[in-house]
Amino acid sequence: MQFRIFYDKGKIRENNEDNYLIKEKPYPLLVVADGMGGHQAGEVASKIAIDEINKFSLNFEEDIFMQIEKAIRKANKNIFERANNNSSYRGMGTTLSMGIIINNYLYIGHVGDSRIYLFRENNLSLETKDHTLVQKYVDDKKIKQEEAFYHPQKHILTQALGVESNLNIQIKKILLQENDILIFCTDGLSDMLKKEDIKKILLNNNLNIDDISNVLGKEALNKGGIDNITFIAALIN
Amino acid sequence: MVGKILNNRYKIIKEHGKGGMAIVYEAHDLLLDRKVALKMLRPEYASDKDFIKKFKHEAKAVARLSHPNVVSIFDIGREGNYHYLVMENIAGKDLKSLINERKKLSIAESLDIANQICSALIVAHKNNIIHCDIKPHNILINPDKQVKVTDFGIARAITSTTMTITDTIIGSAHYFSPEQARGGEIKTHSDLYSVGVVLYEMLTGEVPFKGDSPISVALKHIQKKPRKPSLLNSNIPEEVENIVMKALAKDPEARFQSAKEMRESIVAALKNLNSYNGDSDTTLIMSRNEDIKVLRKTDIQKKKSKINDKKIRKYLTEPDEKITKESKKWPIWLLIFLIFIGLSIAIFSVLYLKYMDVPVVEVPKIVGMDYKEGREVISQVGLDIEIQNEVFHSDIEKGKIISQFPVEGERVRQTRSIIVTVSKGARIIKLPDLRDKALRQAKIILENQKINIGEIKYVYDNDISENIIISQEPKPDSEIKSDENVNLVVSKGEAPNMVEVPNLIGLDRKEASDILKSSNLVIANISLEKTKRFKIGQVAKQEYKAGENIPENSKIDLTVSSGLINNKNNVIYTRRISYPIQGNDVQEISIVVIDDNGRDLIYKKLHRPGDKIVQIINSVGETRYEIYKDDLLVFEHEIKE
Repeated sequence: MQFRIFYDKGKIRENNEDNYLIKEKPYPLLVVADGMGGHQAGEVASKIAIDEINKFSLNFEEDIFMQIEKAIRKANKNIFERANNNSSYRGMGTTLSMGIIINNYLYIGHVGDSRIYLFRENNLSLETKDHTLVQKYVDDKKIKQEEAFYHPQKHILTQALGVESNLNIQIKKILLQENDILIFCTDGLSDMLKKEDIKKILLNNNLNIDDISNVLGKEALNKGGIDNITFIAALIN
Repeated sequence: MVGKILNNRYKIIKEHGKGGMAIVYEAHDLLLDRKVALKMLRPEYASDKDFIKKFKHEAKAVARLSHPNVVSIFDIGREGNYHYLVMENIAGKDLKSLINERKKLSIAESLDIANQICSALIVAHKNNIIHCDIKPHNILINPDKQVKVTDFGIARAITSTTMTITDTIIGSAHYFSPEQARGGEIKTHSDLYSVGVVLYEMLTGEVPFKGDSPISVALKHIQKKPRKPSLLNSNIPEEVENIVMKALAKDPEARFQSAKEMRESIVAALKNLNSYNGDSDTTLIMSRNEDIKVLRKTDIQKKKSKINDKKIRKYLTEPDEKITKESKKWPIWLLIFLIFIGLSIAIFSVLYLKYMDVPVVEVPKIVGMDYKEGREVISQVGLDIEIQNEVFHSDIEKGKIISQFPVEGERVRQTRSIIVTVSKGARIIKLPDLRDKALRQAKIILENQKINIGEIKYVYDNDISENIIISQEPKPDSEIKSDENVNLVVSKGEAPNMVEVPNLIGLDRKEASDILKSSNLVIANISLEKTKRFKIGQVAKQEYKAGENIPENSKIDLTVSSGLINNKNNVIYTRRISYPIQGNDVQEISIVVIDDNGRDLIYKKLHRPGDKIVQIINSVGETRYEIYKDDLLVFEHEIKE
């Protein structure tokens, strides 16, 4: 696996509430988290989540999904407790999108509106489902998918880590192939670039992970760079 | 295996010997009521279908051969996983043990054995069978001194499965022809080379090339000239030595062109040897081309005494004109020698005078300098500089001085030259293309070019066969320094199907074996031991854990309980514990048992709400059960006596 990280606080925000984690060994582990809550609390929340996932150690005798779920729940609990013990952190939370690659399978655990895209054979697919009000409107057919990108309420999350004890974690696995490209990103990228824009950039840069990372980052900044922008681009080989 | 009857016909009497590839038994053919030798392939080869196919093919070809010097193959059979050959039973021993016992054999005996080996090869080669593994272990000698060559063509079947035959190669590397060592095409000439090695060993008691590893031996076969056998055994006649050396020619074209040609030379030498009786140094014999020749020992002392005897020619080597020329020449040599002495004296006198008359200076340090710079520094004190050597050096830049003699600080006369060694820089090697080559072959190529192998990575590859190099780093044709390594990726062959290991713990042996069979796995070893939790006959441990993915047909070791440990002879309880999972989250459930045998964590697993755990637990004496949910005690129960 080759990977590049793009981590930029953007043009407007003063601090970076995003966090990420990459481990290559003993098995590839990729995580992005986008914190929220005022006064640097967002930074703390995403950091706690990342720290908890960093402790994750896979037990091959156990179901992988259950282990991912358990780790995310543990992170949720840690943020929740921290928020309740310190009034300045009250109400903080974070998104979390993680992936572990084992035996060519990508195991995904996801909460919130960060995203995991898979680019394979010139096609880009979104592998996670946003836990947002707007996505719920789309699911309930109240609005069309095309309208979601510009919807004013698109930042309202229905789920995040640290906010409530009952999480509904999205888990799934995908069989990877050689030359697949994975993009793990926070909404700093996906709000600035539509899926078609990301796809175009991937198509134009022919599996060159350096170029992909640079161009995606630059484009997201050019389009406004309103939020913190964090993404991991990984080429499977 | 002993006592077993294969295919209702061959009863195994006893084990004869073990090879890397097969085990040889003495067996009784119940149908024809005769003793036979039964060569059974080791079971690990049985799964290699490609090998079995070739093995059978070669065996069939050999079975068609009928020759007194070839061990006859009577039958090819198979029972279950056991593939075997039924062969003529030879009383007697193999040539290896004979050589080991006697150190070396007499010349006549050696030639006689080589002669019989050649006879066997003549028929084999005529039938397009190349032996490929001629070595003393494969040459049997019966009490009547009749030679029987065995294992025809089996080595040929093996070439594709090099992975598992390291030991076979180790045994054979000493007898490999250069082309075999290189991994090149094997022809009939290759067998003749091996006969040459065997003959060499019989005559001298030593193989021509020895080394620490098969690779180093193989390299010597490719590169080094063998020591002349007469240096090891001065009794070896020149004619015999010539036969050995011709057989050991690196170039197949320079060897005997057929087993027949080799045999003819051996027979001729034998004849000459018989007419030669040990007391006199020379014997006149008639050779085929009607020339009178002398077969004599290549003994240096005796050579001198022969020089005067102008009538005698050295057999097959220099013609006698040379000897006469040498004797005529010597007055000229004397003259040259005298002139040389005279000149030396003159030159020495001139130098001596010059040398004694010059000032002494201190040698400056020029090591590390550029050669030109060094020359300047040296000439400033009036000394000369001379490059004695230019060598590759991976740390010192090209053109810089590596060393000087005399060293700095020494005081020398000004006429002296300072001798320096200059770096040619790092040696740059253009990497050969190793892809599609066998690993063994690549190792030889690299060792030849003094390139080190770094990491060798083995991976499965469905297109490239086992042991063949898939890729290399750096790439072919790239230039590397001599101290850089080349990393190789080597194929492990086709990726095996992976299967999930089933849970066998607590099952009885029969159940466990049935379940393994249905998962396409095999029991390897079963060890028995007393356990804390399992009754006699229950599987207590399995080598691979349940849920692990391992290649199909893998072997698994099992530990089966030979009974519960019960030192105080207390009551044994067997309880079934069932625990439904409640709540919302994934949770880790642990079950602990405390009894005479101590505290035992017998279960620990993640569960989702709705799951139900059922465990049957054996315990000894007073027992306490505890269930934990994420390290919190949620259930306890005690049995008191």
